[in-house]
Amino acid sequence: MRWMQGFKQALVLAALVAPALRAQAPTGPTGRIVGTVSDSAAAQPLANATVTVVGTRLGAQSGADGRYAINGVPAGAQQVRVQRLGYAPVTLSVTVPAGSALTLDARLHAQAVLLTEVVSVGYGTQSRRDVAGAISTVTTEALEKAPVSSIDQVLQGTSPGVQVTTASSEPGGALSVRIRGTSSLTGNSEPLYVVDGFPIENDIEGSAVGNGGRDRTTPNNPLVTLNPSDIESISILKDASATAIYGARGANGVVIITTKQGRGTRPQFTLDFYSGMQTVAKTYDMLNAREYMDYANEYAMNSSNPYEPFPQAVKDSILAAGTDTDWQDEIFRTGPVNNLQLSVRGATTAASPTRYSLSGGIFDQDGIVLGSGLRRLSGRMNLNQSIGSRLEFGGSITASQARSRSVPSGGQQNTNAGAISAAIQYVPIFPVKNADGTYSYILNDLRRFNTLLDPPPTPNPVSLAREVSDSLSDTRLLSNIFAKAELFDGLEAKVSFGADYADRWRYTYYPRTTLRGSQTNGYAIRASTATGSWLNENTLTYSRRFGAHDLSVLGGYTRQKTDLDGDNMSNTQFVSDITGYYDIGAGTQEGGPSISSRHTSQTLESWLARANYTLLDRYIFTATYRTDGSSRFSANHKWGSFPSAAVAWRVSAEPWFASVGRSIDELKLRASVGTVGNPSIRPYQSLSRLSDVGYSFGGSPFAGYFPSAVGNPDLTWETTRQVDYGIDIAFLDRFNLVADYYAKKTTDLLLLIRLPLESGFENALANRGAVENTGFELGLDAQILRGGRNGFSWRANANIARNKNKIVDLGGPERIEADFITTDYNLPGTLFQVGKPLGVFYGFKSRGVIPDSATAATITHRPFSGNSFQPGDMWIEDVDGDSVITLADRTDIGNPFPDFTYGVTNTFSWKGFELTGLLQGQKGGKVLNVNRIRTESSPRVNVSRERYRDAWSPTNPNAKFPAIGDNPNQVGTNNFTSNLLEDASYLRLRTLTLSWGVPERLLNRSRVGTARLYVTGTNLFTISDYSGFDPDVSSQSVSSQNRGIDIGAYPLARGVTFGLTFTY
Amino acid sequence: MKTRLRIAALLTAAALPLAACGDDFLTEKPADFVAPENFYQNAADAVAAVNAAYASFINPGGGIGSSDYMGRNLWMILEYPTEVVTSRLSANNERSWIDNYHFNFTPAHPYLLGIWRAAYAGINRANAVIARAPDVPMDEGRKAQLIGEAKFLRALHYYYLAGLFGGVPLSLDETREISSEGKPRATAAETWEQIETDLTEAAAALPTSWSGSDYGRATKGAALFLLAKAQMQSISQTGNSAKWSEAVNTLAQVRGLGYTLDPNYASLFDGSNERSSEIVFSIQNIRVSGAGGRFTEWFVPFLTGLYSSVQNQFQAEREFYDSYDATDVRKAGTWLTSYTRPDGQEVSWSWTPGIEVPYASTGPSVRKYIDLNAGGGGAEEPDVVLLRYADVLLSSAEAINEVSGPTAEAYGYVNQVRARAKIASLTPGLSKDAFRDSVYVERRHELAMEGHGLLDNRRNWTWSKARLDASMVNNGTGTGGKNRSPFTSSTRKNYAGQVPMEEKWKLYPVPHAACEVNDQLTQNPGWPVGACAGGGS
Repeated sequence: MRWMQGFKQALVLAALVAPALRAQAPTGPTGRIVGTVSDSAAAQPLANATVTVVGTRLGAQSGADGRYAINGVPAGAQQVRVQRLGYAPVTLSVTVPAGSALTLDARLHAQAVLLTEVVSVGYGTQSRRDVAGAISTVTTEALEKAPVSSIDQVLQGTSPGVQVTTASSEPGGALSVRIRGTSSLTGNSEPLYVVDGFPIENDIEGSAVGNGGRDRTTPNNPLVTLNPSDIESISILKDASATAIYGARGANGVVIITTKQGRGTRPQFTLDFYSGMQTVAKTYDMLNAREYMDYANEYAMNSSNPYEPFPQAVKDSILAAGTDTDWQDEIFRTGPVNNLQLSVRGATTAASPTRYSLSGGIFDQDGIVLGSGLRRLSGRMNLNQSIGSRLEFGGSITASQARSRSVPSGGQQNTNAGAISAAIQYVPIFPVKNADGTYSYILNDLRRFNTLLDPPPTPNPVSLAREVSDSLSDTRLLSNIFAKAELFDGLEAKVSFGADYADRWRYTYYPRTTLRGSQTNGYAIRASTATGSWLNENTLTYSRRFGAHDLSVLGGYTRQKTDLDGDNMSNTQFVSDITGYYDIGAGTQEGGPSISSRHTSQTLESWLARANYTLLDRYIFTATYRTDGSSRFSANHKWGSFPSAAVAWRVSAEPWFASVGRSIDELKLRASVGTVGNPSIRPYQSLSRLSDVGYSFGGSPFAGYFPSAVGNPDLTWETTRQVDYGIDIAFLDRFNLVADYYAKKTTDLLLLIRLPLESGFENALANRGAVENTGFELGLDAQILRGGRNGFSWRANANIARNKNKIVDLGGPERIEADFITTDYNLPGTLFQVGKPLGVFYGFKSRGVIPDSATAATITHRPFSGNSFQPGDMWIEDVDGDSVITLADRTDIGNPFPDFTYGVTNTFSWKGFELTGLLQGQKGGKVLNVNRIRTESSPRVNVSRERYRDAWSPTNPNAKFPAIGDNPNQVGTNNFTSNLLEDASYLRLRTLTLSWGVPERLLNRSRVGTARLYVTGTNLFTISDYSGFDPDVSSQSVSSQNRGIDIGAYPLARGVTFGLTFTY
Repeated sequence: MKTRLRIAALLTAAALPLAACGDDFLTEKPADFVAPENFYQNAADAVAAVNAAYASFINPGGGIGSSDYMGRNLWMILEYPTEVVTSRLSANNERSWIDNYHFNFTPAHPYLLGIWRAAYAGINRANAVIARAPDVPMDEGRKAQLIGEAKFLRALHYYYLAGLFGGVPLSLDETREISSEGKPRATAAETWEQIETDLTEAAAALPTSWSGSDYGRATKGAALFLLAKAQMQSISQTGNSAKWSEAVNTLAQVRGLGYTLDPNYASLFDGSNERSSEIVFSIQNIRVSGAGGRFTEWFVPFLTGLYSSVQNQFQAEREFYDSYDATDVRKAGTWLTSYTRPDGQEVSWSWTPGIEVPYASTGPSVRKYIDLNAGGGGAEEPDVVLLRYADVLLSSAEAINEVSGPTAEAYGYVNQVRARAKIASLTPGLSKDAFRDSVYVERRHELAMEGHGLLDNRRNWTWSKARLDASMVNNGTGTGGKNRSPFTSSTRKNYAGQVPMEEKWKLYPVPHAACEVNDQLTQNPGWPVGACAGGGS
């Protein structure tokens, strides 16, 4: 309740201060400044240039015609600054006449972008020139017009060192973002997002609401409630110097998102609308009915007890009936996507202006798989009130609701299979629905032909997509208010209060028409969580220039508290399906519905400080220090300290440099070192706990409580120490290059350590082990062609990054097997092994198909079955050299992490046309395509055409696949071979947008200020050798284990959208 | 200037009270779970803690599967190594390795590890009660009983550990914090001594019986009888034969507590007669999910449609099945050869002499403890009887014979048991050795599949080894041999190279995985040392 007191005091303060300041409002005579901003080379008008009167909050933005106007400028000598992205800023001295207008035209000189921008550095902003740490800004222009539904999608391919992996391409599905590699084995490795100063930990798995009644589902994206259209800019803090200001939460990098603020003078209304269609980008090529039956016969005849599942008569009758279902076709569809965004921004022109930005949007997308979709309604308001030149109040409020309909995807292979898995597997010889209206079911329907085919109990994919109701809702209210005052010249104090409230639910119902529902006469689940978080931040900033010394000091104190409440209930045995999950009490499950609830609470208290000192405009020093106290840390380690330091040398500012580097406009060398933390401990994990257990006496049940986890009073954050060396070069007036090398070492990893069993406990969470990440990043921004006489210009932005990670220490054991990949197969999927990257794939090494008996004779070891290798078998390597394939021959067979990730954005402009494309991709890395375990083996499910066509036979000895009958992908029942691993390299045209700014002369008669029409293609092509839907996949997890696994992942969508933007 | 100072003061005033919150802000207060800080407050908490200690036999929890201990694997470890039952599985299965004294049975066998973990997890539950109860404000009499119950339960875990492994590390204090420091093994004598101490203290604290709603808690009789069994079991490991006469005395106390033999043998195991005056201590089971037994799945006949996943993991050995006296009621009480399915269909099967029955059929399976009407595993009704009066009588006969030879009193106890089984009295005039062996044969028939088999072997090693060696001798392929289970794929206790049985089987090996996390542990004789290099010694 103390924060309430503080809140009240802030209000009292506001009430007291406001009248005190009123007196300060300037009252002298004013004038206007009007003019045009244009490109110096092309002599074209420049839109979106910001013109400000230095030392005041007055300013305006140029329109499409390059014109601007600023009213209410105090008469007399003023300095006017004109800035635009991609151009060198200019500052002009003018004398404003009282009561009349001054015309001031500005010609801007194009310059590589990165030098001029202002970047968010956490608790403040800095000019790019003065930054000593490694901070990227995201080039969003390629994505502004693309149908992206969440802000993390914007990061893919647009910034070096940021790897974005898609857990699910489903609308609203989660993405996993890694900044400079993965530094935690068990903890959350997602970056910290800071939205307008409010830190949001993106704990994807922790924030998931229930599982929709399935063993494993890909979680929803918690960032989907934030509308990407509201973003003004994104800064990515990467090195320790930059992230240490976020202390114990900085280890995974920080993404600072600033939303659009009010600016300009007159209100500017913007309408943004696009609409389009999406379809599946790629499907599996499976056998048709005739081929399937041929394959089944061939397979069965090759078995040790030969039989013919589909004798000629059966085959003929099936083909005659015309049943040949393409199950993928049945669940995929063309899905519309629509977006409408309306906003108004502006500021009043009074001496104490009010700046405002209001927006509202609706995004609606039907997924390309039946039954999936997303609709988001969002509204946002930013309001700032200046009182005189020294005091400012403001606040923002964002309200949004994202509702998605989820189709079971990303699922497993048997009863838990999702619609995608099932559609790949279902055999083409029966229809979607039987004559009696019931859905066909592979287990029963295939057994009708032959019981030996032993089909799996996989549910009908169409029944899953059409009948299961799986609704998710995510309602978020993010609000923030602040007061900022300049106490003395250069000393600014800011107090802010924020609140983030998220209400999430997931309601699921499996009716009788689904397999799951038929087993229990309906199955309903209602799960919900409510998260409430408040934040108070108090900072003091002092900035001053003394001669050659430029100093800026920040100090702050913050507190944050987050409470989470969750409920989960499920019920079965419904009399009918009519009420679904709405009347969950109607179920008559034996023993009543299953109900559970939970509550956690966590607090964070922090002191922070930063000093930036620049000497002679060329020697830059930055030091930060944050100390965080977190409730999640154990009693002995409540507080942690996170220091960092950076130096930079602007070589190009040296007086002697002018004679050395004529063609070099800017050269800066940077170095930083620092320590940051990852607080992935969930609340209460350092405490001992008791669990309940049942037992009976006298025939009646009694509850008992026993010590189920032993506490660790020393449990603390994972610590990442990072050094970074960087160089920024701008040259030839048109290129800007940023390169960084970094090395990160994370120690005190959160690991379950094994305890002596005599303690009564098997393990406990402790800080042990270490991981290293090293890499380099390169970003190049080039203004290749400036708009010359013909007005053609070409701008390119390219980035490439390489990260290598390695486990240094696991706190004792040499290796730890990660989770099972799927509960169907118990495939021990991935491995943490000292000296290897995190989560390497763990299985048998296959060496291809044995072509002939001569080759077979050279193999001295025996296969798993104990017999001998035959031509047409998959050759499995005897890793331990004991002459027989046993489980001990499993080994590290591949790395899920790519060697390089890259992205290239090209923008071509000519007159009013602009063509922007983002090419993005990765080189190296492996994907484990578990779907193929089923589709390349026995005809108990459908088989891929390639597997059938290119099977080994004496006449096709150099086949890709073994003889029909042999399983290329498994050894024994629970292990996979490296045959399932595929190269995850890809190059994708992520977006391509052609836009046309309607010439002003055509708009003259309307009130429309500017109009722009565009067409965008999304994922128009992907170049990849991957056999599945999309190599950018991690359908089992966003955590560090089980990455790069594809089990029925939701496929990638390709689409085209048309859009228009009007402003007036 | 004045105004600015005012602003500064006010902003500071706004921020400061927030900073002044104490450490309380960062202290975690458990909300949705029970923690030591908010538990052990009153009598109900203390009782709940001891209840959980009872549950450790069927619900080990904490990541340990309910099959790992008394829910299944302990039973396999205790019963397979006799000539009574076999696993129906092929020699490639880890269960057959127990059955066959197989060379693949190593200290890495997962069942040993599971039992080790589960027993110590149970011991820690008991230790928590013993450590926390003294500070709980409650009725002192009930408190003493609670601690007595916990000591009985702790001793029961150690009884199995010592019986399987010999001397083991003695964990007697509740584990309250993380430590990688392991304890060395106590000697066998120290381990049995600790068991005796706990049981002696428990016997002093516990009542002779409990009222209805507490039925199933440990009693004085249970503590005393387990004490006698511990005294007898310790001798083969410690060589301290003075324990025989102590056991005679302890058993006399148990016999004075009023237990009787139940006229209906079979009813003791089917859930219908769970409070018989014959029962001294049993694991309590009811048909409530998680609070019931889970043997049925492993015991019921194969492929008979009785259970969704039928296992028949315990199959009568043919020779043993044929060794019952014709009138012995215990044969039908122990083995199942027919039943009525829930849908009313009669299922029955039999062994035809000289005919090997195909795999899809079945031989006699265990009748004890199965619940044909249970909803599923973990919700089965029959209590699992660990201690009963027939065992008291046979133990008495065994101990008296060791101290005084086959006296009339000793004969009397055996004959009481035989009379209830409806078979003739034991041949009079046996020598001490012959009488001992007869008692062991009687124990096999009387107590088959009640978790005594292996421990009996070790108490009378020469006898049981000869008996096992005989049944392990390769009886050829073909028909008519001894010791043949009905399944062609099942293995016989004649695995190549395993005859005669090695001495190392007198103790199981310490699990390697336990040694990996406790470098103080040493290995038992004859077993691969692996990680069990044993620190200090």
